[in-house]
Order: sequence, then C-alpha cells, then structure tokens
Amino acid sequence: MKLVHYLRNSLFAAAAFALSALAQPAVAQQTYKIGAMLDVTGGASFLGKPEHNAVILAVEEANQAGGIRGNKVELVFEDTKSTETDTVLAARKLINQAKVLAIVGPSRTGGAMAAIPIVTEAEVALLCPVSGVNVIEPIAERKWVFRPGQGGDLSVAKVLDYAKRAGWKKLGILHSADAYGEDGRDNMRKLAKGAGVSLDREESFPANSTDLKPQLAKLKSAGVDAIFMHGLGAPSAIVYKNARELELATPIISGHGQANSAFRNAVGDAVIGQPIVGAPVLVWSELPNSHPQRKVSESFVTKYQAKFGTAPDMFAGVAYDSANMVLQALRETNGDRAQIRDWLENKVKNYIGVTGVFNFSAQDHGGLKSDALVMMIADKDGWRLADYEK
Amino acid sequence: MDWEAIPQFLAGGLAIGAVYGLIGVGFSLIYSTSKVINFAQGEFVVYGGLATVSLTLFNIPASVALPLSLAASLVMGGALQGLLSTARKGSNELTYIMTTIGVAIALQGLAHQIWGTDYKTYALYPQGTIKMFGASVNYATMTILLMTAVVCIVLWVFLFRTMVGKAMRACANDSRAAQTVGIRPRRMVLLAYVASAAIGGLAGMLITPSQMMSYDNGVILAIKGFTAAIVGGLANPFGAVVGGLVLGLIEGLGVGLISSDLQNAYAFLTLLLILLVRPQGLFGRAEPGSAR
Amino acid sequence: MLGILALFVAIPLVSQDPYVLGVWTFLLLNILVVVGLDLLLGYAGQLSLGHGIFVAIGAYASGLLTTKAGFSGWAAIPVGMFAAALLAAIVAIPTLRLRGYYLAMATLGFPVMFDAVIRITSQWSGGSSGIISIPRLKIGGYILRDPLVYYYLVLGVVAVVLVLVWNLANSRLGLKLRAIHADETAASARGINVTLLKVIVFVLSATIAALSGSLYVHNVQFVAPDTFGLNYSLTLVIMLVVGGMGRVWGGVLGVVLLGWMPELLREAATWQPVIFGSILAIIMLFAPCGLAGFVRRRSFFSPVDSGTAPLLPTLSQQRVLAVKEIEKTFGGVQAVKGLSFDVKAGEIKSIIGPNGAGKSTALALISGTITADRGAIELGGHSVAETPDYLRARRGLARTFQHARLIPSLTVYENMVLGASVLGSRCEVEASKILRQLNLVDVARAFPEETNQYERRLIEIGIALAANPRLLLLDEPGAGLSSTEIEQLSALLREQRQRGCAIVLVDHIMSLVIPLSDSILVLNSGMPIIDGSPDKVIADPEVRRAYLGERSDVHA
Repeated sequence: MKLVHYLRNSLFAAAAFALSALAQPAVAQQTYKIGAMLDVTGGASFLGKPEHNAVILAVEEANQAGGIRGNKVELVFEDTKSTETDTVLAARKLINQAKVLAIVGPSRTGGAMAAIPIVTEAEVALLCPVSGVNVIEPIAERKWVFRPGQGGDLSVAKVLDYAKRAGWKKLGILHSADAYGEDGRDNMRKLAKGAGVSLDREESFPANSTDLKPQLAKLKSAGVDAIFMHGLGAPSAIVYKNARELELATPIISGHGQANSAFRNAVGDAVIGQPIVGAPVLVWSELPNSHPQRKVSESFVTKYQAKFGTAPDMFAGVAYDSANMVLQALRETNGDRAQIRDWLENKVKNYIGVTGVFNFSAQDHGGLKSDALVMMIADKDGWRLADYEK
Repeated sequence: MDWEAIPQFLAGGLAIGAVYGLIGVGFSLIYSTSKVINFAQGEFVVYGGLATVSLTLFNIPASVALPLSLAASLVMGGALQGLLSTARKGSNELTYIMTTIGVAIALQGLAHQIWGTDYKTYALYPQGTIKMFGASVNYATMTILLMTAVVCIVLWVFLFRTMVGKAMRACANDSRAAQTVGIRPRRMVLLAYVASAAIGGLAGMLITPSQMMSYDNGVILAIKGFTAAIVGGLANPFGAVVGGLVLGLIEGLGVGLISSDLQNAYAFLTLLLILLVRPQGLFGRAEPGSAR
Repeated sequence: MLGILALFVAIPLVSQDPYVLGVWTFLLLNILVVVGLDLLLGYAGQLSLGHGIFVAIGAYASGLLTTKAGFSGWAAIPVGMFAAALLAAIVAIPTLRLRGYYLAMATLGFPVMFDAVIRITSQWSGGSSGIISIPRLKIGGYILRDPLVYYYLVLGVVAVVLVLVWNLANSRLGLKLRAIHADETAASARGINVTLLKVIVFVLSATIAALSGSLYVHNVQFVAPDTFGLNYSLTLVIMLVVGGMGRVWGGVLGVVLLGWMPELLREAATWQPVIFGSILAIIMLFAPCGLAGFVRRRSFFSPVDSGTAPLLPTLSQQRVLAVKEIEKTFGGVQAVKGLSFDVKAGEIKSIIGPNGAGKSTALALISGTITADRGAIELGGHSVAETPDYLRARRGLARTFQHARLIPSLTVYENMVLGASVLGSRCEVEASKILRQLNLVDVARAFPEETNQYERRLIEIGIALAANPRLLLLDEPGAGLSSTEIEQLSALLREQRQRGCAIVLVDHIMSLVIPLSDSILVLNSGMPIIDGSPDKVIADPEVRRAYLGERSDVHA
C-alpha cells in the first residue's frame, strides 16, 4: 500500500516539475517581439482571421526589407477565441510569457474593454482594431490604449447623416446582444436626437439566433422609416433573408459589422440595394486618385490578395495599419515599451493608413474623422460606393 | 402588445420547434432502448448539414447529396454505438453520459478542422413565401413541418406495424423480458442509434439551407433537443415531437411578446419548470417505485 | 494528501516566472472547485453539469461589491459564498428529490440562465461586457499583486479546504455519501437521510466554488458572463472524471494533467478539442473510475476493540411491531390486502406463502420502501405509516434485501459501520463486535466483490445487526445456503432473539423456518390464511392446499 502511494506522489512530482519546466519560454534571441491577439476561432472569427492575415503581412514585409536595425521582427500570436475571458488570458500570456513590446488586438470591443486594465497595469501599448467608444474614453484612464478602428460613434454619425439625407425621421435598431451591439445602441441613443431623428424601437438578438422574424415584425409594427442593424455573426445575414420573406419594405441600414466577405457570401442576394457603412479599402477602385487612401489601399489589397487569395476586409485594413504603426515606432525608437507608446501618441500625425488619415494626440487615441468611413450599397458583385458619397 | 404579429411568432416557433422535435426523437429512441442520454446527438445534426454543403460544393445535385449525407449519418450512428459497446462491464449511466460528451467534443473539434469556422449553407428551397393565417411562411418552414410529419408517420408505422419495430418497443419496455422471446437488445440499441443519427442528420439537412450551419451549433441544438424530449417524456419519441413543438412555440412567443434578448433562456426555463412540476414529461409515466 | 500539498509548495522553487505561477494559481483555483465537485459527483454521485454558475456567483459578488459598493475584497468573499449556498439550497431541494439524470439536466441550463440574468440587469451588472478593473486584495496597505504572493495565498486556502474535504471524505459522512452514490435504496434503509445529505453536499460544493470565483477575480481583475459558462462547467467535470472521482486526489490529478494540456498543445491549438474529447471518451470506456481508479482506495476504518453488553434491554412482552389492515395495490394487481399481525420483542415470526403471495411486498411495506394504500403500521407504539424508510431505520428497524445490497465501493467493515451509523458514535464498537461474532474479521478490509456468496449473505445480515435493531426484517436469508450454513444462521438469529430483538423473516426454506419461528404467518394472493405456531401451521389443510395440494415444501 505504501509503495503505491509513493509511486502516486512521484507521478505528481514528475508531472508538476516537467510541466513547469516545459512552459518556460525559450531563450530569447535578439528579435523584436510584437504581440497580436485576435479572434481566429469562435463567433468573431470572420473578423479575426483577416486581421491575423494582415498583421502577418505587415511583419513579413518588414522582415523582407531587412528587419529593424538588422534585427528580425517576431510576431507572437494568441487566439482570443471570441471570448473576453480568453482575451484576458491571452493578454497576460503575451505580456508576461512572451514579453512583447506592444500588442495589436483584440478583434472585438468586449475583449478590448477586458484587456484595458491589464495593459494599463503592465504598461504595454495596445492597438485595438475595434470601434467601441469606451475603449478610448475617458482618455485619462486610457493612456496605453489606442484605437485605430473607426469609432462606433463615427459609424452612427454617418448613418444619421444618411438618414437625414434620405428623409428618415423614425428609426428602429436591431442589435446583437454583446458589447459591440450595445455600443452601437448606446451611440444611437446618444446621437439620434441631435440629428433630428427619433429612435422609436429597440430589438436585440443573441449570437446563435436562427430566426429574426419576430424582431422584424415588431419593428415593422412600430412603423419606423428604417432599421439600423448593428450586430455581429450569422444572425445578421439571416436578418436580410427574413426581411425578404416578410416582404419588409422598410430599408435596413447596417453598421460596419457587416462590411466583410464572410457576411457578403452568406447573405447572398438578400442584401442587394441596402446601404452598409464601410471603409475606403473595400471600394478603393472607385476612389479618385487624389483620395489619400487610394494608393495605400491599392497596394495593400494587391499584396493581401496575392498572399492570401481573397480581398481583405475593412478591419484587416485596421490591423494592417496597427501593425505598421508599431513597426514604425520600433524603427524610430529604441524598442522600449514606454517609448513605443509615446511615439504613437506624439508622432502619429497625418499618418496615411489604409483606414484613413490618423492623428493621435494626448486627448485623442482614435485619430480618425468621419471620412474614414464611406457609405456603400450592396450590389450583385459585392458593394459599390453609394451615390451619397459622390 | 403586437397582436397582429402573433401568428408570425407562432409560425416561427413551430418551425424551430419541429427541428427541436426531430432532434428530441433521437434522444428518445436511444434513451428508451439503452437508458443512455446521447450528448453527441447535436453533432449528427451538424454533420448532416455540413456534409451536404460539402457535397454540393463538388457540384453534386441536392437530390444525390441528400441521400448520400443520410447514408453517412447512418454510418455515424452505427459507429457511435459500436464505440459505446466497447465500454467495460459495470459501467454505469454516468460513464456513458461522459463518453458521449467526450465524443461530442471530439466531433465538434473535428468539424472545426474539416469545415473551418465560417457559417455554411447550400441552396435547397425555392424563394418566396406563402401567406397563411396572417403569417409569412417560407418554403423552408413548410418543408420542415412536412418532413417532421413524414418522420412521425414512418416512425409510427415502423414501431407499431413492423416486427422489428415491435421488437424495439419490447426492448424499450423491458429488455430482459424481450430477450426471453429471442430479441437481441444489442441489435435494437444499434438500430436506435442508427435511426437517431439519420433523423438528426435529416434535421441538419433541412435547416442548413435556411439557417446556415457552423461547426459549433451542435451543443445548443442538443440541449434544446433533449429539452424537447424531456417535455414530451423521455421514453416517448412522439412525445418528443410534441415537446419540441411546445418548446418552439414558447420560444417564439417569448421572443415576440416578452424579449428577444432571452431567446435561449426560455428553453431552460421550460426545462426547469417541467423537471420541477412534472419530471416524467407530458406523456411519460411516473417512475415506478418512487415513494416520495 | 500532505505529500501533494508539499509538492505544490515546492513548485515556485522550480520556476518563478510570473506566467507559469499564474497558470499554477489558476490550476489551484480549479482544484478548489473540482474537489468540492468531487464531494457531489464522486462521493454522492450527483452530476452537476453547470457548476460554473457557483464560481460565477462568487466572482460576480466579489466583482460587483468591490467595484460598485465599496466593499473590501475580504468582506465580499463571504457574501459571495453565502449567495452561492443560498442558490444551491433553492435549486437542490426540489431537484435532488428526483433520481437519475434529472439534476444533470436541470444544471445544464444554469449557464444560460445566468447569462440572461446578467444581461437583463446589465445596468449594474456590467452586461455581456463584464466587469473590469476589479481591485486586487489588500492586507492593510499592501496590495496583493505579486504572482508569487498570490500563489501562496491561494495555495493556503486550497490546503485548508483540501484537508477539510479529505477528513470529511474519510469520515462516516464519506461512507454515507458513497452509499448514496452506489445505492440510494440501501442507503435509506440503513438510516441515511438521502435527500438532506445530497442537499448539504450540493450546498457545500457550491460554497467552495464561490470562494474560488472570488479569488479568481481579485487576480485576473475581470469577469464576464461567459467566463464560467458551459465550457468551463463541462471542463470541470471532465477533469474530475478523468482524474478519478471519489478520491479527492483524483480531482487534483485531473486538473493538473488536463489543465496543462492547452499549454503543451499550443502548436496544435485547434486540435485541442479533438484530443480532449477523445481522451475523455477513451478513459470513460476503458477506465470508468478515472486514472485514480487504478490505485486501490485505502480505507481509514479498521475494526476496534469492543466489549460491552448489548444496548437494548427490552421487556419480553413489549409489542414491537403492529400491522393493521394494510393494503397495497400495484396498477390493478392487489398485492396485499387486509393484513394484520403483531410481533413482540424477542419473537421470531416468519411469513411464508407461494410465489406471488405478497411476502416481499409485506416486508417492503413494513420497512417503508413502499407506502401502504390503506392501514396502519406501528413501530414500538409509534405510527410509521407516513414516515420514510430512513426514519424507520433510526427507530430501530433494520432489514436485509433479497439480493444482498452491499455498497461495492466500501470495505466489508465500512459497510458494517454504515449499518451501525444510526447508533452515532458507538457505531464502530458495535460494528466491530458483530464482525467478530460473524467471524468476518479476515475480510474486514476486503471489498464486497472479493468475498464469496455466503460471506456476502452474512455481511448483509451483519450490517442489519450492527444497528442493534429492535426489529429485524430478513428477506430470504436462507436462499442458496447449505444445511450447515442454515444451522449457523439459525443459531445467530436465536442469539438475537435472546437479546430481545424481534425478527420478521420471509423465506421458503422450511428447515430454517419451522425450527426457528415462534409464529408463522401464511399469505396467499396477498391475504393472510393463518397466523399461529409452527405445528398448527403445518397441520392446517388450507396451507397445504395453497402450496399446490397435499405436498408441502419440506426441505430434505
């Protein structure tokens, strides 16, 4: 009996020590480590995968050009699995285990909110390709957080402007029951009145909804002029199909959560003719040559397409810009975490990214204006620039 | 209160309810013959749908892809039963539950590997809707309801009019007594698994064209499917269908009249209610020997 | 157990890397929850598939109270634990009355319900985004931020809980829980209040889980509704089941092995679920008791010295059992009708009759396993018609079953201690006494599957006797015994009669029944034919007729 217990305890000991030892990070060579934490699995993988590709592309380009001061740039990647919890764990891992100099990610507003206290305490710059307003406000508590993604408030402002032009007075909102969806709803609540529009009805859907006809029926009976759709995931495609089936005449105008190829492929013809908030990179071929994003978008899209076989999505562009900003910061500083943050805050002025022209400052870690967004209309082949923009 | 929209809520509820019912039938068949709760039931649905998508991507027409997919489901069901039969003697119910949970997790992971994370769909139903009693009913809904009815009829004929089916019912009733008249419980259990997999796969094939399917849908479908089975009475497959429809209606009305936020919560509230008030379900019998 | 704790203390000596310590801290927190879950699942056998909700309650209580209500972290922890205990009690009481899978199914909905509640109350609960910037714990002015310090803090808590649970599990309570897991009917018959214990264990495991949740948020400083959702709950069960239920250290092993897997499989991260699921399925198929099942459980119970006289000085004429006009119908078949009889202290009454006469039913009615439709049953003057079987056991009733219901996961001696548990602290003394009386000392530390048929029969009787019952019910104790063994059994029962115990015996074997009984009751088709002395009964013509004509079933 005693022998067995001795063996059992030895098994524990062996397991414990072996596992601890295995988890030690490998001896580091002199490389510059950049972290990326994105949702490549889970409900937001349609965002995360293109973003991951874009960051890979940026780092690859940098290394092919000789690295930074002769040293390679190493991308350390963690999958945040579309949950806040895994985002927090990924952040800790990147900061404590891999000891990265800055982090690009995560893919969703909810994840960003969760990661903020961690990067703030650890003093590592975080560049979030998300749109939540609270990610960079209040600025006094967001010293280490940057958001190169078009803000949800900008997106809503664009929608409201379009609504004004179209003569819509009463809006309904259909949003996903998560942080992204609630951000859109909160922005709309805040900005609608100022634009002369009333928000008459609010409906929501959980991520695994398969039938949104009840919500659409309720919006229809509220008699709204248009429905603002702000959500992530498969249900957003189902909404359009359901609208067709209900023969809903009310237009559905979508936030930028739908400006990606996964959605466009899934929804098929049901979305044709509907307006969607998008980004220049998606309709770059329709931009005039003088447009600041035209050249960089063309270059990015071509390279992305050559390497990955599909066109990049809007937030892939944001991730690309984020990675490139970090790389530029590395080039112009000594590669120290605090210096990178300071560079971002002070030296990103009239920085031409794929997403837009960035101007960060101590008061503004978003850096974009509403021209970073364009209204698109879904057509047979994808989308085109809406006449409203021209 | 949106009175006019109620028919729409009901129609939607019936449609999802029928699907829950089909999945519930699978649980019921397996439980009644082997007393096992098959947590991998939802994966049959997922694989049925996704496999059909893959076949159609090879330009195989739906009329061929569907039967092929169904055949694959049959094999899957048989394989699962074969796996479970290797369990050591003396394994109790908990062991089987945990095994099917393990299989479900592994299958979901495998589906992720094969089909990735995107939602997939294929074309099956013609476009358009029919207005019925104040609701817009699309072809998907009609087909699903029709097929559910067909499955019920086929199942009834099988269980009550064929020898094999009667043998299966006998086995479900009392497997030791059934053995004394020459029925082999192992065969009946195998049959139950194969049938459940086929019905589950069929459900997957029916819903993928309208709702899309992704590798991780299995869990929530399984949970709702067996809520349906419990509401109806675990050992009664027809009860499962009714249970599914009831569940679907509750969900549809709940989303429509109360709040869309709580869509999944309605199923669990129903489950909890039934377990507390009438654990044997609508059509089940109280367990004999429960003195309390 | 102490060895394991020592190992954990030593871990930081191998690696001070904050990330590694963070992972170990996380594993320790999981161990905390899993050990509590083991009490529920491994010991009491109740499958909770949504246990994460209790962790979440602790986490949210701590998170909300510290960020929104200015509580200190330490003050918030007990609040969370209490809230979890409350919810567990509310949920457990209705659902644990059911048998089988029902608790598992009810608990499966917990993560969804929790998520819904959080989202409905999102104004102050943080909604689906969760709660951020949860402050760390402080001692005085010192903030507990250092991973090493936190590791030891958590380890301290885990150590205390582990020791407590370990002691609990190896106490009489542990025996009772194992009995419930293996055979609730037998457990009840031995005087165990099954429902109450299940609820207590459920509440206890929930409280421990909440503690873990609180410690988690003060380290990670974040919680969302999905942090402890269905995936987490399932993972807990998987870790426990793979490591080995019902051993305490099995859960620890499962957490350590499966907890490090994601780290080791980083390269093949997307294959993780396939590997995880496969491991679970394979272990369940080939090692259903988990990895710990390969190690024989060491029993902490051994026979003790005993010596004093029997407990109950009963007056020889006192009426121990009074049955009045009881009836029981099963779905149209009248199993027992109009049955009345008395049994006095020190009297042996046998009930005989052809097959299907209702003998086992009568016994079950007296023991309380089933309730009579009509009529009254009195035990020592008190009515027990409405009393459940475990209370009857505590009033001095003990029974054996037709097929010996020994608890397979308990040793022979432990089974007897269980039988004697109605006596409270005297139970080991009495159990040891009976063990010696029955000459079973050699198999005291063996498990039932290692004993033979006759020994098992003896043990079954021994379990009943160990309770020093006033009334002993024996269901076919003679079946399959040789004539020598029947002699031995008769001698044993006469000794009990000497002691003042009343015995009701159901059997077919006349060589046991006739010499032993003071009175014999004959049943046919649920009704009594005659109740009298053995001579009278043998001679009675109706009795002969009931047994198929003139031939009576006399054992050679």
